[in-house]
Amino acid sequence: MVWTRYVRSGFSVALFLSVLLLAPLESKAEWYAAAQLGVNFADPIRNVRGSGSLAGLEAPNFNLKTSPAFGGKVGLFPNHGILGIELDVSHSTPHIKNLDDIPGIHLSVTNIGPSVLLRYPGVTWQPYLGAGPALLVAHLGRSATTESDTQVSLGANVLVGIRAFVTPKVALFTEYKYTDSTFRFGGAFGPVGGFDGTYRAHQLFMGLSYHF
Amino acid sequence: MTRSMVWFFLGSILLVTAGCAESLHQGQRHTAWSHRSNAGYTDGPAYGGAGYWWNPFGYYGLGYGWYGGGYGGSRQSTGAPAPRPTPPDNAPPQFQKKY
Repeated sequence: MVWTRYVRSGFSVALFLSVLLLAPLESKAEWYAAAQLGVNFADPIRNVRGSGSLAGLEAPNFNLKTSPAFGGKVGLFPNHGILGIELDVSHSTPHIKNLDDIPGIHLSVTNIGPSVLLRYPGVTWQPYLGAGPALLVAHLGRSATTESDTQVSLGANVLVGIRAFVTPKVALFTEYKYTDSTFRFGGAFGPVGGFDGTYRAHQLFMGLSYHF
Repeated sequence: MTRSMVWFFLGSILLVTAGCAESLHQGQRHTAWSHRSNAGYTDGPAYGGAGYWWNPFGYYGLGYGWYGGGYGGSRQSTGAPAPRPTPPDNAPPQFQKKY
């Protein structure tokens, strides 16, 4: 509950800063768009608890596979300043590994995250860090033990990276992003119920950005 | 995972060696700031002045000191673990695992 409140506060702060940053928007603003490719290192889904008629039951951690990740982002630095905002969308497939004799389950996660960024606006090198709320759309596939189920949950992103310009308008960047959320697959086991679990992922990206 | 890390390490080196251009935006900003701050002076460093890179909020403005309240939050301690309920027969196999 505290976490949900924190995330809601994060959305409010992001909205406030967006308005604050966009209000004095003028032609000097630095817009950019980027594409990125990387790897998703997801921690096991922890604190697995039953929901619905399975409430009160617990299960072992669900180990997740390391998977490729890809995505894109658009962002804005008003007045070429140090403070900016960004919308990042990335997709990964951290499938649930088999649990002894129980077969694995397909899992895909789409992370939609608006972030507030702080950067050093160097001429060639621009290290940056950011944070913001995240909307995670996770899809659980049908398996021998589960039904197909999609859930949307709130979470948070924290990221750090560095950008290097290779032409006056094109930059390469590498970025680390940490994501934390709680998945709630209420219909994972059909009418019997579902499960909740803590999802945490580490993502490493490399990408190319174009600065308009 | 190890192989992926190696690839990212190599990629980072590539990024480091490739970074040899100047940002158009930051180059323009530097030029404008340099002209404004050094007006009347032919040389010497220029410190400060509106329009330098810590705009729009000033060096110790809104961009600094924001507090996240401790990432991850505090989790409630439940004290002694409660006995786990026995899963019913129709419970999925994931909940019938001993751990």
